[in-house]
Order: sequence, then structure tokens, then C-alpha cells
Amino acid sequence: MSRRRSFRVELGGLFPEARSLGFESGFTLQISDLPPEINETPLPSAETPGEAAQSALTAGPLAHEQTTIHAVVDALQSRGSAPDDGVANQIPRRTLMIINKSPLLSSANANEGTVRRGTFVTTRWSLILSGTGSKTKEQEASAALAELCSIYWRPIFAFICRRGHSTQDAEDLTQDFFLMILEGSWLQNADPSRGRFRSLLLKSLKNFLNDAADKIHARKRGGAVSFISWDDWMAEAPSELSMSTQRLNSLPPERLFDVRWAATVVERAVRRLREECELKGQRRVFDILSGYLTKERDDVSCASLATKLEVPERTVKKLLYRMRQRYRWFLRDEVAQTLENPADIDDELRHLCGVLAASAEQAT
Amino acid sequence: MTPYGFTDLLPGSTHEPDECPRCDTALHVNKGLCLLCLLQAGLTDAEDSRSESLDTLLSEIE
Repeated sequence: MSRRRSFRVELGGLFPEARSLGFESGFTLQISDLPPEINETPLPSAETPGEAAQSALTAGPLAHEQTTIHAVVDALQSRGSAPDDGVANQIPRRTLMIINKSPLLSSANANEGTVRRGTFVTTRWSLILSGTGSKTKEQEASAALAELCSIYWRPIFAFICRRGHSTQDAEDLTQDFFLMILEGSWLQNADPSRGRFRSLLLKSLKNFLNDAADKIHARKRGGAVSFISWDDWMAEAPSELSMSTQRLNSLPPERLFDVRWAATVVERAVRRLREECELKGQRRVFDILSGYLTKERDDVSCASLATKLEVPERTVKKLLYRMRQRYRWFLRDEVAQTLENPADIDDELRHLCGVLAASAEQAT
Repeated sequence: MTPYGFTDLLPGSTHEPDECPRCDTALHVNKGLCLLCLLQAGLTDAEDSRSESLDTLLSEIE
């Protein structure tokens, strides 16, 4: 396996001895609240019941929830930690919460397909908000915050530019703002009651820019240093957001911030869909079909697409349906990461849609 | 520092994209996809009960 992934699965009270399960490629299973000697037991090989685990771990995060569930149960049964006989089939899919797919970021996912509505799922933002009380929690929260900042630097930069700063000054101020966020006391003051990541970041940015002139002068005197690796952030694919000059010029800073935010969310979701196709060696499928993600059924000529892809028409229909479903999941996941409660995904999406619609009206 | 990645935010680098026939907005990402339509797609609450995943489908294509 070339890519290292880890999952942690929380069980809805089905296994009283284990509150949650974690496993990662290389077939290491870690069960919370169980003694180390059990956790050190390697998973079965791919030829044994753990074969399902390999499938789940290599096929992509959350792509095979049902397989994952069975793999977990197989693993538990293999070590005598789970009830026998058909337990997997008795587990309702919705009792599972997959709360950690990244070994590096301790981030989380709110998968509407597998998570019961209203069930709390850890998101990056909720992880940040709960990141006090222990060194480990603080480290996880800091990593999650750094990740969110690296994702959402464009709205920050755009806002600063729209406030009238030169590109160079905006770059410096963006650096300084993130320095304050990542190394200052912002995290400790990020009170859950103060709102979502997006709104709290914008509010903090406005406060930060109140004495921007002093900050710029201090920088020019050598009073600040760049610490953020822009190259790392630039390594991400550049944004392809396009809008008319008239529209761009008409947007107030706050609205431009939200437009850039919406573009970031959408572009990341589209990118994840593309990467999933690429992982299967099907970039061409993405290239040809991604333009139809939002098209009405009547606007799609499946026959023509089938010819292009050299697949049956019914396969094109299935692919389009699945790509839309997958894209939707990625989009909601991206939004969820900036919220404390994934139940607010629709509210956040509606807010961003409203901003885009209003921005369009404003420019006409 | 390379300016790559910043320039897309500057007015001079933008162009005049067409309006989307569905929502009449002219904000596009990823080579012409409508930003608002893509965002609204996230609101569509379609429960998916079929077992065949995109991953499986992609694997079946030669």
C-alpha cells in the first residue's frame, strides 16, 4: 500500500468493551479502552477475515463503509472481542461514526450516508474548540487549526487586498495574521459560543487590521518575520475562480471574503473527486464527466458521453449519478470541518449560496 | 516568493465569464463550472441506498 491511512470508528454501544476502534494501513488495529496487549496483536492477514480490512483501507476513505464495518467485526472476532455469528449483519450502518480518517490531522468527517442525523461528529473546528485540558489535545487542536488556515488563506488575503493594501503588504499582513492565530492566544480564546470558524476568523481579521498601518511599519523596520511556508500553501493547485472585473470591483471586503470561502470549499470538493478518479486510473472519466456535475438530466447526452468514454450508456448514467453523490459528500465534508456541529452544514451552505446570489445581483 | 496563486485574486487577471443558464450568476471554478450551482448541489438531500459505489464503478471501466 502506497498511501498510509488511518480510521477510527466509534461504535454505538454495540461493543461495551470498546468505545471506539482505530485501525490503519499495515493492519494495525487499535481499540480504545482496551489493554495494550490486545492492541498490539496484529490484524489477520489479507487472506483471512482481515481481507475485508484491506479492501476498506485501500479503496479510499469512507468509500466502503459496509466493508469497514465488517472488517472491524472480523478483527474483533479474531481476537475474541466481539460476539459471534452474524454480528456484522446486525450492525445498523447508521450506528457508526467514522471520526478520524487522517493520521496527521486528526480531522473528522460527517458522512451523512453513515452518520445518524444529529449525532455529534468531531470536526476540525470542534477539535480546535475542545483543544484544552491536555498536551495531546492542544497539539491536535493546533494541527487542526494550522490545517484550516492553510486551506482558507485565500479569503483572508482577498479581504486584505480589498481593504486597499498592496499585494506585498497584503502578503505580509496575511503572514502576520496567521502568526497571531497559530502562535498567539487566539486558540485559547476561541469560545464555542462565538460562532463558526469562518465568522470568527473574519471577525478576528477585522480586529487585526484595525492597526494594520502600524503593523506594516513595524515589518518595514524589521519587526516581524515570515514564518509560514507559502511554498507549501502554493503547492496546492491554484484557485481557478473566475469572475468579471466589474463584479470583483463591486464586492465589499466581507462579501469577497465569503465568495472566496465558497470557492475554496467547492474547489476542494471537486479536487477530492478528481483525486478519487485518479487513484483508480480514471482521470479521463473525471475530465469528461465533471462538467456535468450540475447539469439537468435533459441537458446531458449520455449517448455522446458513452462514445467518448467507450462505455455503455447505462454506465455513463451510473457514473454521473455516483460522481454527483460523491461530490456532494466531499462538499458537505469540507463545510463540516469548519463547523462545530455538522448539523449546521445546510445553514452554512445556504449562507454561502445567499452570498453568491447576492453578489451576482449586486453586479448587475 | 513566487506570486503563483495570488494573481487569481487580482482584478487584472480576471476575465468575463458567461452567465450560468441555470442561476444567472457568472462565478466559475474549474474551467467553467458554475460556483453557485456546485454549492447548491450540496443542499440536495438525496439519501443513497444503493450499494454500488463510485469506486467500484471506476474499477469496472477498462
